[in-house]
Amino acid sequence: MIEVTDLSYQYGPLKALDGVSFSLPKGKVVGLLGPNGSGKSTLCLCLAGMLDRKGSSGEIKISGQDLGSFAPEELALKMAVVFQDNLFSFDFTAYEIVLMGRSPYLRPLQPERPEDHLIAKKAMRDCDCFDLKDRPIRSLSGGERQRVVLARALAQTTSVLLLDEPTNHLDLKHQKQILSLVRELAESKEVLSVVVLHDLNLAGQFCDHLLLLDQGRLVKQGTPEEVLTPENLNPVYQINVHKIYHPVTGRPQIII
Amino acid sequence: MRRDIKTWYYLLPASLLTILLGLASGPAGFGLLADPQVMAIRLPRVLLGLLAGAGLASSGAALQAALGNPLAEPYLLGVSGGAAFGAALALLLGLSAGVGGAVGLPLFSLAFGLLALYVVYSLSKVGSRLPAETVILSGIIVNAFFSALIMLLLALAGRQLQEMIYLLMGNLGMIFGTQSLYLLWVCAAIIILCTGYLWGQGRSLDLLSLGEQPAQSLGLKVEKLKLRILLASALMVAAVVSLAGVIGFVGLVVPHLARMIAGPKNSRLLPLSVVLGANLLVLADALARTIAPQEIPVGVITSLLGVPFFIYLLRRKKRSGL
Repeated sequence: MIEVTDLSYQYGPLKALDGVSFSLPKGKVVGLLGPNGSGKSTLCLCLAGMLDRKGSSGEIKISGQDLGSFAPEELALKMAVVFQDNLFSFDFTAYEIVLMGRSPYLRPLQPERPEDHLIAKKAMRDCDCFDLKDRPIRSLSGGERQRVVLARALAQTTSVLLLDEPTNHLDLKHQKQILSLVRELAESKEVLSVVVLHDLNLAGQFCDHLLLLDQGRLVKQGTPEEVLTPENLNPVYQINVHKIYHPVTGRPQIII
Repeated sequence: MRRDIKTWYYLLPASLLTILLGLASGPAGFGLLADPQVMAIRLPRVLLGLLAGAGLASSGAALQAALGNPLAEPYLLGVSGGAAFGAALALLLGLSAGVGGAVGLPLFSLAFGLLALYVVYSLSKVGSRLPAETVILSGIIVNAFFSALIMLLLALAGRQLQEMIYLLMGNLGMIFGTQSLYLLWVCAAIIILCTGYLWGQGRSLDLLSLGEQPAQSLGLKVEKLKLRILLASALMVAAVVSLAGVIGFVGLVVPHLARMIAGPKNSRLLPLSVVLGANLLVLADALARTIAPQEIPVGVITSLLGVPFFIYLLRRKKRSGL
């Protein structure tokens, strides 16, 4: 679904990504891990086709087609993105925000069709924010806003989801809920999700595949069992970690 | 019923009253609707008021959405100042009469209005964002620069001084004489076409107001679209300035009022802004003609009303912590 070959990205003299290659099949939940400044967000922006191509070298292919050859309106049908900060200048209602996820399917003056409303409402229920539907977006808390923006991404009904720290601002209940939802989409609709995560344990719990970045390099990739080991993590995070297993799910977990 | 639809029921009859009031009010009080000589002066004045109010409000609403910044406004962003400098320069070069006045003056206005907008845009861009604070700061800088240039022109001006001063203060009394009457129709065409275009882009404007990256991820060709929208906005401002001079704060106040009624969706906001703007400016001009023994420039009235509103917006913004 997504194939990245020898991707590098430079902000002026600063090398943010250095020769990254990986291939991700559809229907997987992929965690993007690494310390602050390791290149996670840059990689995310590259995958979203948001960065100036001047600074980049290498190749990104989506369903076998070069990312650069997609027009924004084509890409919006394939991939939905949730960014880290979501600032709003105007008080749209939460529902209006979610409905904007349907705009790639609509012509300029065409009103939203009944199915667009159905999809938007379902996305809001899935993200547990339907009760916020008529609230002005700026009156919502960070976590509530995060869920609304996620619902907008779901309303885009794409086969790829790109989520930059979607669990930011979320409480435990909603962290679990959102990542379970991403899992469910992977299993029922073969959606490929690429998720930037800071929490290694959430990554261990919910992801099929992990990419570990350090200083712009991809230092390790594989299953959580393969990636979440003290040998891999200690040099990257520069602390000593220990690996244990979740008492119920048996998934690898990291404690410090 | 939706609040904005209900408003339309009041607004349309109210607009007729506004036009009548605009036609009837003068320095000698109200009346004289029957006098054809008086009407020959007042009718274009009311028309220009409707057009300028509509154009400035529509341009303000579009700029606010496209820049994702509720404080954006052609006057505060320096677009009006740039356009006024262009018009003043054309005046000084003797382009106000004949073909020059018909084509040269608006073209100069447009060129410098666009230049001002471009400078503000590139000065205030931080990464892919246009933070409110830097937009306002850049607007101040560009305004200061064009003010200085305008003062230079004022110092150099001879017989054009009176026209230049009217240009700077904003005046709906056909500054450049009745020869520019047909320019009213050109101006009307520009405003109708540009507003029509912007209205058609209503959904795109909604998406743009979320910021460039979200807008692009929702399928917009952001750069191209933004350029067209800024161009349409600047075109309307230049058309207004080349007829009526600098009239501040209409583009700020009116879209905010309309947003309180219709919400931020631009497909509803734009038409409401246009009609509210047209009404408010004609009323402001009627006030300007009747409030004092001598006529006051309408730009003075709009700024006197607009500045407290701007302060209110800033304070509210500070409180909401954005």
